Amino acid sequence: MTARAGSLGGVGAAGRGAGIHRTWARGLVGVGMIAAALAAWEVIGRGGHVAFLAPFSTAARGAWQIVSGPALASDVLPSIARAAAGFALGGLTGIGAGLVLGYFQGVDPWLRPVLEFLRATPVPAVLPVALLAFGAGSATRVGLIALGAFWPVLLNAMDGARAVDRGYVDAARAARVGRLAILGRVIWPASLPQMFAGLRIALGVSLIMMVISEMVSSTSGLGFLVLQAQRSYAFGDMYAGVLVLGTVGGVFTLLFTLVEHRVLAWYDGQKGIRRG
Amino acid sequence: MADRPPLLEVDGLAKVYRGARSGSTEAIADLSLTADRGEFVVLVGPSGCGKTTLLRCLSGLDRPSAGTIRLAGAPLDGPHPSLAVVFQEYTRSLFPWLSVRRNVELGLHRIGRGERGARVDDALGHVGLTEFADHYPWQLSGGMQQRVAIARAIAARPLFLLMDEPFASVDAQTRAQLESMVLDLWRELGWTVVLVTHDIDEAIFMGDRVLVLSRRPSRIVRSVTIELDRPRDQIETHARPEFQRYRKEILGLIGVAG
Repeated sequence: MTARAGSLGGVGAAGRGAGIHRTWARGLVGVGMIAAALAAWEVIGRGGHVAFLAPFSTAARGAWQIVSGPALASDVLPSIARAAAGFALGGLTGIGAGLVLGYFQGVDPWLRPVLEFLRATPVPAVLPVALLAFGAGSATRVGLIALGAFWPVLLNAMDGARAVDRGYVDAARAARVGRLAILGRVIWPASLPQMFAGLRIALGVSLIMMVISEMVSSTSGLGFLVLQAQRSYAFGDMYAGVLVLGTVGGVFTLLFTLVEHRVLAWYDGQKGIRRG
Repeated sequence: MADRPPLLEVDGLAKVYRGARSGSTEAIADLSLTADRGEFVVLVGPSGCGKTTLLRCLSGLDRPSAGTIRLAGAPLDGPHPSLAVVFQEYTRSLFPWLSVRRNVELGLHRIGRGERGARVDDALGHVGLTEFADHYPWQLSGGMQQRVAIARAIAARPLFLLMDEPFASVDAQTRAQLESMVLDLWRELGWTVVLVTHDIDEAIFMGDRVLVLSRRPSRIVRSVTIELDRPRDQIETHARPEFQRYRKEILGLIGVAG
C-alpha cells in the first residue's frame, strides 16, 4: 500500500514537473518566434528591396515617440477611450438585450426578422451615413464602435440564454424563485461562458471599428495617424502607428483574458479547461 | 388525526402533450392516488411510463390537462412552499457557478440571512457535508452531489418531498448508502415522501406502499402495501422471504401492465 502511494506521488510530482517545463518551453518558443519575426522585418527593411518598408528599429523608435510625445494625449488615449467606451456600451446593451430576447422567447417572432436584417448590414457601411447624420465627433465614432460590438454579443447572449439547461430552470422554479429572478440568478450566470465568447469577438470588432472610424473625416486618433503618415510618405511613422495599434490590441486582449479567467473560473473548473 | 385528509390527493389526473408535428402524446390517463401524512409512497413502473411527467405535475412544474391535485386540502397551482423536489440528475439541478452552501440556500431567498445560514448548516450536517460548504458541486463525487441536492430539500423544511429517480446516477454502493440515509432523514424529519423509481428492489426496500404504474398512458395498476419492519436494513431486509414475495408480485404486475 505504501509503495503504491509512493509511486502515485512520484507520478504526480513528475507530471507537475513536466507541466512547468512545458509552460517554460512554450513561453520561450513564443518569445523566440516574435524575436525572429522582428529580426526578419529589420533585415528585410534595411535591405531596401521591398518598397515603402521601414525597418523595425525605425518603426519602434517612431512608436516610442508616439506614446511618449504629445500624440499620447491627442491620439493614443482618445483612441483607446473611444474603443473602450464603444466596447462597453455595445457589450452591455448586447448582453441585456440578448438575455431578455433569449429568455422571453415569445418576443422572438416579432424581433428576429428585423435583427437578422440589421445584423447583415456591415457596420462600416453605416459610417458615412452616421457621420452625416450625427456629425464627425467622438460620440458618433463611439456609437459606431458600440454598434459593431453589439451584434456578436447580442447573438451569443441570445443563444446562451436560450440553451440554458432546463434542469437549472426547473430546480429554481421548484424552489419558488420568480420568473424575473430566474433571469438574474440562473439565465445570466449559466450563459456567461457563451457571452464571453461573444465579447471576445466584439473586442476585435471594436478595435477594427475604432481604426476605420478614425480614417474617415477625422483629425485625431491612431487610425488618423496611420493614414496621415501614409499620405505624407512618412513610412516610418506609418509603421510606428501600426505597431502601437498592434500593442494596444494585445494589451486589450490580455486584460480581457484575465477578466474572463476570473469570471469563468467555475466553468473552467467544471469542464477541466486550463487557459493559457 | 384520523379525520384529517391525506396530505396529497390526486384525482383523475391526465396529461396530454401536444407535439409540434407528431400530434399529441397521452402520458397519463385518469390517475388517482393519495399519500397520508408521514407516509413513504413509491411509484414504480416500466421505463417511459410517464413517471417523470407525473412527478412534474405533482411538483407544480407542469399543469395537468385534467384532474385535480390537492396538497393539505388546497388545490396545487404551482411550486408550493411546503413541497421540495430532488431531481434525478444532480448535474442539472445543482448550479456549477455556486458553492455548495449557496446551492443549498437556493429556495431560502425569502428568509433572513441569519436564519438562512443556520438552516444551511443544519441541512449540510444532516447529509454529512459540513466541511464541503465552500466547495463547488463539480469538485465532489456523484453521491456527494446528490447529498447536496438532498440538503437543499432539507433546508427548505418541506412537509412533502418528491424524489425523481434520485439514486439512478450513482454506483450501487453509494446508492445503498443514500437509500438508508433518506430513510433515516424521513423518520427524523417527518416528511411525506413520494419517490419515483424503475428499481423494484429500491421500491420495496423504501416504501410503505408501492404503486405500480402501467405503460403509457399511465394508470395505477395496483397499490401494494409493504409490511416489512422498520428501521430497514440493507442486508437484513433484502434477505427476508416477504421481500422476495413482494418482488415476485410487483414483477408480475409490471409484466401484466406491459
